[in-house]
Amino acid sequence: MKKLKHYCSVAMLSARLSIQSCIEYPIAFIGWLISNPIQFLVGFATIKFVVMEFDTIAGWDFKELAFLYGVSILSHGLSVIFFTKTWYMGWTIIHGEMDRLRLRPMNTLFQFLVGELNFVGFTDLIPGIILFVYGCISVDFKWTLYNTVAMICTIIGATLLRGAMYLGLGSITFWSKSPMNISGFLQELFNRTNMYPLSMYPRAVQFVFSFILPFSWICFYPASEFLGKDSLIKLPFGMAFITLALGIVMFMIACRIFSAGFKQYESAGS
Amino acid sequence: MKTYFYIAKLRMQTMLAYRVEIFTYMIMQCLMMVAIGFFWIAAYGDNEVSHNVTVDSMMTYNVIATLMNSMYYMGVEDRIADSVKSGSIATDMIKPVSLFGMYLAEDIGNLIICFFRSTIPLLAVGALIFGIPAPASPKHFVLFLSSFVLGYGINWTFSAIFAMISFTAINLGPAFSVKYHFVNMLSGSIIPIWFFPQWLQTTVNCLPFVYMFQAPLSIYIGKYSINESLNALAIQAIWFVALTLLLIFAQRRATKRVLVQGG
Repeated sequence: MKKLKHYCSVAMLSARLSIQSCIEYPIAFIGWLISNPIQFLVGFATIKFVVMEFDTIAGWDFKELAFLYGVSILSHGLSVIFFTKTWYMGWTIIHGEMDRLRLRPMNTLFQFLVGELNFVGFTDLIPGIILFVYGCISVDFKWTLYNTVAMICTIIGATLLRGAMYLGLGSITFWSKSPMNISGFLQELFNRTNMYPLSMYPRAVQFVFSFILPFSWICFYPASEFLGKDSLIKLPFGMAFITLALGIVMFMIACRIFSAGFKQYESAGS
Repeated sequence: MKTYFYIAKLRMQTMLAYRVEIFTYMIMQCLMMVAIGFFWIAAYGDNEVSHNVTVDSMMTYNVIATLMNSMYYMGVEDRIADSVKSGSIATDMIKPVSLFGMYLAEDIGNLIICFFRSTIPLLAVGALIFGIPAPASPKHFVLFLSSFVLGYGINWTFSAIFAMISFTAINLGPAFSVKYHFVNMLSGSIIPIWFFPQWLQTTVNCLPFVYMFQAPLSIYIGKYSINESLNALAIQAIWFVALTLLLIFAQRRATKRVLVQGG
């Protein structure tokens, strides 16, 4: 119990530090505040242009696509706040930054993830919230008890799924010892596979994105259930809970990979 | 010249050490190509032709765009930003070679490795899934090659000029992110700009981005006739020259700044 309290206080403290350090450089923050929404504006605009040309994509109209995009971007914004550190893991490991964490009497992964919360991520979250609200209004989303719970599960699950993927792939650096910067690409892949309905792909591709690389659980399956759309997997209810469960499981696996890698971590010399 | 060949060779050897990185990157690009390809098939649906482009041409467009993307590895951007931050720019500058010549040689080295490690596998996968991406005619192909070279030049000089901002500003993250998304969207590398509304098309046509991707691709799939292609090539050449002049100018100014800082 005392330990838990200690961990909480450290988390609070680091959150405060991160906010303070962010206020220290207001211009950089404003820069991100302008630049981050642009990418979602661009993404949103491209959906609009394509739909203007072809009306619907695999039976989804613009409003439904906006809803799908909104859920996806909201979870993206949350994942940016909590998991940005994992994007630069390769760099952190190569430069021996992990040594510092290792010396402290605390769980390393906790320190790594919580220790440096990314306050700048709020610049991603704000457009996420706006798009999410817009999407919900445009499809007239019903906030019943079940729907609300399911939506919360979806968003938590989706955030964890994204985070797990960043963490797991980032941990490869422990073995490969070469800094890989694929996070930007991974983000784009996540967004692209959740921007459009999965049902537009041939079955084989749907299978890949559902079971081998579970990208589509981020929000396509829950969203298609909310909207009552056809998809590869038919369930009467509960897609959102699968997303949550999958998110938790994947995240635990990613933590395992991290610990396994950390165990055989050699410092970068000097 | 020999020096630059040597730099390129060194860079190739370095790149070969990053085997896992290149491979992962290639897989990602491959997934992206498949995702976008099937997106077009779904979007076209029953429509055979849209904006004078058939589904098959669109597939070719997508595959070739991916291949071009895999070769447009603009290492110069991070190279300048990192070396200004760490101060190693000073040692780069005292080397008896032209600073940007050296960076270009490094990027050409990158390009050669990327060509064998990414482009060829991607072409194989693309051909297997979407059919062989054949050019509209041999003439178009020749024009495409020159257009590609110019496109590379525009992209490279633009990246280099952009990275020069790091001589004056410290935190470049947001600026790089804006640039990345602008190049991605406004160059037609994912969605050709002929799908955009008219007013936006007119605006985008006045910017250099379309000449990095869409112009060579339009030539390749035969959306441009031979005459139009030559026109596009001329505009590309003008952009390339203009950007090169700007780069030389920016380099002169920045060099002075560094001298002041370094002391």
